Amino acid sequence: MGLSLKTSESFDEAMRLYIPMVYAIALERLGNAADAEDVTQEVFIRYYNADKTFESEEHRRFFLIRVAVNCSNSFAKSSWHRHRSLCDPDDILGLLGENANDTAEENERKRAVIEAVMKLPEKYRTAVHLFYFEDLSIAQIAEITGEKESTVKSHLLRAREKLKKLLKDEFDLGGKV
Amino acid sequence: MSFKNDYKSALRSVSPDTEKIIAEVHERLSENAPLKIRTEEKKKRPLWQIIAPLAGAAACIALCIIFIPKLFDLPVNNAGDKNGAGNAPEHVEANNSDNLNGGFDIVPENSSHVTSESSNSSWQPAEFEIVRGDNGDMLELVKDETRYFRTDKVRAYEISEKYDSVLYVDGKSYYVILEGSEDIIYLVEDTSAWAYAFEKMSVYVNGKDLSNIDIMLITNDNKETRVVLGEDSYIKTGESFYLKTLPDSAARFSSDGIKYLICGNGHRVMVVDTDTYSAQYYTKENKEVLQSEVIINESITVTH
Repeated sequence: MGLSLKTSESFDEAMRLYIPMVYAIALERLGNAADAEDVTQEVFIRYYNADKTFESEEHRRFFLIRVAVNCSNSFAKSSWHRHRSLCDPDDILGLLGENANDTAEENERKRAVIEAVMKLPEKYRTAVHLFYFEDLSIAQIAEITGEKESTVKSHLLRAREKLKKLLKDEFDLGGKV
Repeated sequence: MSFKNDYKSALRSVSPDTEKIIAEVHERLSENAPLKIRTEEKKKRPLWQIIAPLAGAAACIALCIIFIPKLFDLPVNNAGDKNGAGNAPEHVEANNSDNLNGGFDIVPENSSHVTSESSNSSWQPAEFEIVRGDNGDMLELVKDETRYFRTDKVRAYEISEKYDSVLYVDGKSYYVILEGSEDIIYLVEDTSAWAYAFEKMSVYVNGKDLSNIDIMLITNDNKETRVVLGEDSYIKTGESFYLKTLPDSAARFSSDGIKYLICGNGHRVMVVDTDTYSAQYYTKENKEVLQSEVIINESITVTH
């Protein structure tokens, strides 16, 4: 039996499970915590109204990622967002929590990584986020963003080149994209 | 040092206020309220950053008004004439009463006029109209005098990613994708993973001209209604809407003194009650017509 929002579990449980994921996607795209919260709200309103039955947990996750990406893009294009100061890396950097177990060097690295990603052009950021954070394949990213696989691939390649420069080759960006 | 690990670790340390978001979602769902923009929490642009582009735009418009007529040697609108009307063009009203292509000059109650911008030169702006049902669902798409009605819902990524124009309806944007012969149009809401497929509506169903075909309306204790068109049977979908005017050249038939009009494509037909101005959709059943005949033989009320 598939997963249905209103039958197999409470809506709140689903939100608790997926809010961090949706919020991270929106935050990465919009670069602003308040906007990311607005988009997260919107995603779950749509999720509730859609009342879809999902074949699996993975199916549901995929659906929410897609809606989150679309909502974030839509918000970024809205006149409200365009007429405000856009992405501010300091906004996200200010949100970074420091893990007590991490060394000062580790915390500094995390800041450097986020700062570098936020300096990427918007069109690259979503692909980078879905690839590195959500561990999605290029085909899945293409499905979600509605772009061709070759486009996603080139976005990732260019993003990696920029990241290498920004991070001064200090990080291993993984194998081939 | 792994970029991936540090990136994941960094983003995981940014934790949203989950309970606050959940509470706000519930609040919105219970009140059906629009998104609250937390202006006070957001960074505002300095005033000059808002005023400067507006001032620039106003200056451009003023320059255009002054210089473009001179450039093309056009008469400048004389707003100061005696009537105060200037040289504004006369308002022209479109008259669709001579529409012979199926007579689809229907103007439903719930229609949304939209604006559109086109990425394809053959499709001009503002030629689309979305017609909604009583429940707000999109039922029809009108381009010029041709009507398309919704037949299916498909995953957006199963269709071409290239869009031909963008419609703006009630603050939402929809991407219009034309497929091949323009018999099918897809509408993708920008925040949805789904696309609506619209098929061209015609008075011909499965190649048969409905104006000549024998049509039967079959009701089952007023609970279930079927339409039989030749060898095909259609069942009511529950979707209905109201019309202000009626098509006048589709097929007509009478049942209990009520006149009906019918039009559609191979998959769905629309039946219009000319007395109540209400219309209902029927979808094609996957049953053989024999089963419809069985229904008739069981003496369920057959009206024709």
